[in-house]
Amino acid sequence: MKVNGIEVEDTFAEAFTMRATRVIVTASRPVLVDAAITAMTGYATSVIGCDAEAARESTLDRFSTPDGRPGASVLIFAFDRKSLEKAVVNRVGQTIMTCASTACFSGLKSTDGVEIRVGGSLRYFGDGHQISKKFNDKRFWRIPVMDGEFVCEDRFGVVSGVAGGNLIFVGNDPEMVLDAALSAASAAASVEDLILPFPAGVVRSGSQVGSKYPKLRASTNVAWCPTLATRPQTALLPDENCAYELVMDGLSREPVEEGMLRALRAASRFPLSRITAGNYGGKLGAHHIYLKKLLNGEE
Amino acid sequence: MLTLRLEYGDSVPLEAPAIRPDQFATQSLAEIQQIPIWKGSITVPLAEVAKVFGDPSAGLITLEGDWSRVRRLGEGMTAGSLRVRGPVGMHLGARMKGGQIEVDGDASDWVGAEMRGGVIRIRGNTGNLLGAGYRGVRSGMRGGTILVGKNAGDEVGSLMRRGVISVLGKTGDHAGTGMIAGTLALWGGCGIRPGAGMRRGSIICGKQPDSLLPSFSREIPVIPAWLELLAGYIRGLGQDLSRVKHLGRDPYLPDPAWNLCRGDLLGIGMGEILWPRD
Repeated sequence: MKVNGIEVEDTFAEAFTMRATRVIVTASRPVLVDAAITAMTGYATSVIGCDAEAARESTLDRFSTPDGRPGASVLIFAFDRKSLEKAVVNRVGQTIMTCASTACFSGLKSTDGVEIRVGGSLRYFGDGHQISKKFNDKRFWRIPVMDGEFVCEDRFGVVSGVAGGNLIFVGNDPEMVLDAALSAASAAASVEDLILPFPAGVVRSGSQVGSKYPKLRASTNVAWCPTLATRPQTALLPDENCAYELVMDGLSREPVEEGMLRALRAASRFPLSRITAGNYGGKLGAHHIYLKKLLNGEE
Repeated sequence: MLTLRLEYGDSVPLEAPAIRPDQFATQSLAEIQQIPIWKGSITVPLAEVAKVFGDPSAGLITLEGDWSRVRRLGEGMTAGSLRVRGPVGMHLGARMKGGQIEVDGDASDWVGAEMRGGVIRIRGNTGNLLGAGYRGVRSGMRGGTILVGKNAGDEVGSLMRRGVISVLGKTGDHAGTGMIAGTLALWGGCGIRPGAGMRRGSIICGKQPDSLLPSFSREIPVIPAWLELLAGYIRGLGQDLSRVKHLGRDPYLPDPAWNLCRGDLLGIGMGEILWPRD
């Protein structure tokens, strides 16, 4: 199967069901929104080693935020409701509340009644001086801080998202493969309800399950490392010297599929040797996204 | 929709707590025509004072005529919609728990007194003690929202504990007396001594109050992000706040600042009065 003359392997990406929420952060100035979001989404690339996977979803203007100030939305994913709540409370408390002039709101409504308590947990920082306001059946906490008040919504909606949609781009020239991967990441990032949690949306240290060291849950993906091309596990062909992976998390399966499709089309404009996807034999993830079906759907 | 057209010329006020859309929804037209209405110390059937027609099952009642001498309409209602095309008497929607009341004219005193939930919209003026607690009780309004299109009288939100009251026009004296919590938005300004004895809660004045008690703190400049949440909620219920100063952010100007005074410091002093900072 070929797209723009680039080989697309007949395989599938294996993705997982995870709990997700959308956090809306606002501040008096866009620069403060950026600073808060950068801090909040730091060290949140993969649940293999982080408490959550998070990234900026979109930038919001004054007309799209609850308090009429500039803002941005962030999607955060974790294994289950409990770990998601812990991660969001910690991150909002340490990175949003600490940033000048910010406020924080829930950006989605739960479909199955599952919520996490964010403002309701952070309110204790007010030491009894916090104030609650309830409008439209939504409770907001006003926590006194040194520049006024930090406003945070009591509960955030949670949905079952799909995390781990992926593509792997392989080629001869590492610079060209990087260009293809960055272009693909940019195309996928334009999809709503979707994030690419890794730096610049691109992963260079894709992992395999397990390790020769018993304590490690994951280790380097030997199959795609060019310096290990002589090992029997290699998946690289003789003229292939580089591989980059895109990983994407969505609030449902549809945005993940749309992101993969847009990424695939964008990358296919570069002279890659092939495009493939990562999976674990279909044994671990509930969602198997076949590249062939993606492309057939497009036709 | 059920329509009640008042045909009553006597000077004795009527009390009609039984006129509730939630109760009418389960009754037949014949039963509704016979419900008792208090006229002084006696009761008369509803059909004797009003022409009743239409379908009651939808939970929507429209009142036509001058109902200004009829008290306790919609008292304690839990659901449905009551619409009054004209003026209405005292205790409208008192102790209501849910549903909606709309008045196209003026309303008298004690509108929404001790209400727990639901929405009351008055397009005209209201009297005193809007959303207040009756004498001797510990708390007034405990939930729901009251929107007033024009002016309100004295002691608005007295003993208020939860909920939102929004008055577009001017409000009289002693607003929020003894307030326990809740939100009182008096966009057209208020008279003397708002918030006397308030413990918690917020009084937002569109203009600097005429006279603030000395038991309130100095003016503290703040940029209250939460006010836009309140404004968004009120706009969502259909009240036009476009003429209110310092609301609705201009993308080319800094966020508007407000003055905040804490009080009443004779009590726990966790209440607040805000007005636009010039």
